[in-house]
Amino acid sequence: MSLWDIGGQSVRDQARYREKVADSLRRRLGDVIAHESVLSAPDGTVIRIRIPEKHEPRFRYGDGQGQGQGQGQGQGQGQGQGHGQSPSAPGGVGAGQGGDIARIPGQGSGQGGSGAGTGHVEPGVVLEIPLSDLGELLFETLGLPRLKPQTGEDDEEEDRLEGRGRTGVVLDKKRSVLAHMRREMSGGGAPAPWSREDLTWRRWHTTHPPAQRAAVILVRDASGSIDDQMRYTIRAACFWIVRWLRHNYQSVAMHFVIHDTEARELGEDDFLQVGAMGGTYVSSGVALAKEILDREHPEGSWNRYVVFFSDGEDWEADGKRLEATLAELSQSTALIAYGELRDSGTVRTVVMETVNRLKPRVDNVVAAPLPAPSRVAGWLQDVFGEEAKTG
Amino acid sequence: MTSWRDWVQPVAAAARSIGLQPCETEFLEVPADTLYDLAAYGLPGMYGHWSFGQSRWRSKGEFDVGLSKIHELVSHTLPAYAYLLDHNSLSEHIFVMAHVMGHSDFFQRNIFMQHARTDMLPLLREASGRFQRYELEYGQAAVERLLDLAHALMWHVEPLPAPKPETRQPESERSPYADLLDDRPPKRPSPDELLAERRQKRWGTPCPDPLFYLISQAPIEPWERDVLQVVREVGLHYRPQIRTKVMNEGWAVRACLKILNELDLPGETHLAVAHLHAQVARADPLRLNPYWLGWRLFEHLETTGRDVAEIMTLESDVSFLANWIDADFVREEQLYNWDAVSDGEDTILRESTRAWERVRDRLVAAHTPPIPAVAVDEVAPDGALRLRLGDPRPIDVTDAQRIVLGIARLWRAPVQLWAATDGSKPLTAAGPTDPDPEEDEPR
Repeated sequence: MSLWDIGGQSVRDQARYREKVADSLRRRLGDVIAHESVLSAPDGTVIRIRIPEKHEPRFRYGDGQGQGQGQGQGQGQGQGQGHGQSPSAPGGVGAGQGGDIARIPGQGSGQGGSGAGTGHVEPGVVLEIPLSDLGELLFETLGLPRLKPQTGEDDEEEDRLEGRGRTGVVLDKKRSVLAHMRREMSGGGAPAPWSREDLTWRRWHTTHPPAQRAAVILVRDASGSIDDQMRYTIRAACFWIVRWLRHNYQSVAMHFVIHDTEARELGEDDFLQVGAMGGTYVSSGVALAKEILDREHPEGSWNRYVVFFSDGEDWEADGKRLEATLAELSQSTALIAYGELRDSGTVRTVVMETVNRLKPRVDNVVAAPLPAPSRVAGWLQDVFGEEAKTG
Repeated sequence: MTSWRDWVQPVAAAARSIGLQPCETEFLEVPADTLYDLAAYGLPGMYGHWSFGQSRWRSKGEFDVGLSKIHELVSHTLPAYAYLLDHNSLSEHIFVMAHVMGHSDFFQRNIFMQHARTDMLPLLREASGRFQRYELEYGQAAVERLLDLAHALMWHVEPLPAPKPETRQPESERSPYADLLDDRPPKRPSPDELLAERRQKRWGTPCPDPLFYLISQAPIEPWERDVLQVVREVGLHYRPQIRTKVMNEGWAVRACLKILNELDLPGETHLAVAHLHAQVARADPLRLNPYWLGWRLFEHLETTGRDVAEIMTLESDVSFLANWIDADFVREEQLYNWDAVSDGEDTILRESTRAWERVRDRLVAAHTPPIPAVAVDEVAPDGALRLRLGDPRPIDVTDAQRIVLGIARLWRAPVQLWAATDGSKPLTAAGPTDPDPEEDEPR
């Protein structure tokens, strides 16, 4: 019996613990990815996420309520525990010369996690994750399929050495020498002069690989009924759509379109700012998206995506027009996705009805409700997961 | 004498020469990784559970950035095993060995320590083998869930009351005429005695140890009973240690100083160990160091002519501090209470009083284990198990809810937790098939 060997057990238990932390992160992923600090993080930054740590429950003194767990994530949040005193026991006993007064700044910069055994402070665990890894984790957790690029034409040519023969551009020395030796051996082993038959050449081959670039037109309803929360939801959704496309394609071109009854193209910075205009023709936004795509990103050399957001309250009369525009556009796009900024379970909106009418005929127009930022993850799964089946 | 091994005998001899009675103690030199494993698991041979992995993971972080350095680790077993960190210097080894002698003596003599069994190592070693088999047979998740619950209840274990002492004197000591002379009427038992007697019948209800109650009454599988029993033994093993932290460490600091004075140490070692002592037993202006507190109080009692060995034998932390801190101690050691006052922006810590009774009372409160008493009150007519808190202070309901749910799954019937004073409805309740919100969702 060894008196100290815990080694293997310790490694196993640490792995199990980290598994639990990862599960905890996955469960909260929906909230984490929609958090302000994530959406405003420049590419390449490391994001600090604070998740409540899995802990063993105990009967412990408390406030008679549950613990405030909250969604503790974001940049450098931490509970200041300056000198290891518990916030719920604001006092203690010290020893020393008289008049000791210490000052603890109000903003704690501590890291938490030093759970001093008072049982009151629930330490969270702070994870540092590069934005790209968070994306990987999200896409993996959602089980999103890789998008299938379509075959490209013209400008995306690729030349490579492929295939061998009696003619070509580069000599395959190894094969040539072997062929020469083989000929010498079959001739009884006597040295033989080099001949043209010994030589093998490698050839150039020109292919048209699938286009590795995508164009996405992000369209949003800017009518008066779109509130701040909806705008935030759109922002979170667009952030991850673009990252998902970049995850799949070498380059992604983006265009931003807003509409009320008329549509116009805007820069990225203005996309979410402008608002409070008149009525709504959703078809106008989709039509402008088509116009931009046809002008700048022709089918064949681009994988084309259109995503549009609305609260679904289109003019009744616009429904037919929208249906026709979507049906036409769907012929030349990889996917058209719609996020309805409300819980569609209760109300049947014009836009949702229109998309549903298209479903039997068209398989690459997908729609799902997107009532809150925390639903972005699920929405991504609904719309891009759908493409796996069709695409 | 350049190896710590050469110092084992001199240190033990010095301990006995100053009146300590340390139990047999073996020293083992281990690398840092191993020492941190042991610190996370508490005892060698401990069964596996993710919570140990969590403590180990945290200590690894601390070790990597050099925040903490474990000075000593000793198991309360027979023999006691004490671990020495292999990259420590000779002075550090000698210091740790002398300190450990104090603990070994404390294990041997303090009456609360006598409740803990000292054969934990073989017990755990065999138990972890069985637990691994249970994982294979009943699933890792089932074993883990059971351990999660058992660990929650581990802090509420109590030793079974000792069998009632024989009231009749042994035949040999009785006078042959006793039966003639004893004409007093048969004594009627007092309510207290009745209660003790009821408890003695293996704790029916009320039962102060919910884990014991589940082991003896819940309709559980033999393997589940085995797991709960092992965890209860671990809880009983830790129980006295949790309740004698200040005394045990204070006694060890005191023993260490005395032993080092007895030893014929090389010159440079004197300085090194004095430095170590200053680090271990430093006073803190904000939070009293238990090593310092226990040591200073024992010193104070010794200089005022008290029998410190007897005090060390009979007290636990709460009674030690409550009975023996006096006005002189608080004045001489310059103790004060402080409170945190927030002015909206900053938090200011300010001395509030030096009145010795108030300093003493706060120290007693701070060293009372923050474990709310929870007893099994009764089984309701409908089969529901009723738990009751022992005191009216509010508890954390989120955690309590999870524990109550865990108990309900074992009890196979609803379980309720009631406040100490009768309320109209329970604080929280759960049925055996309620879902656990914390449970990992199946994916």
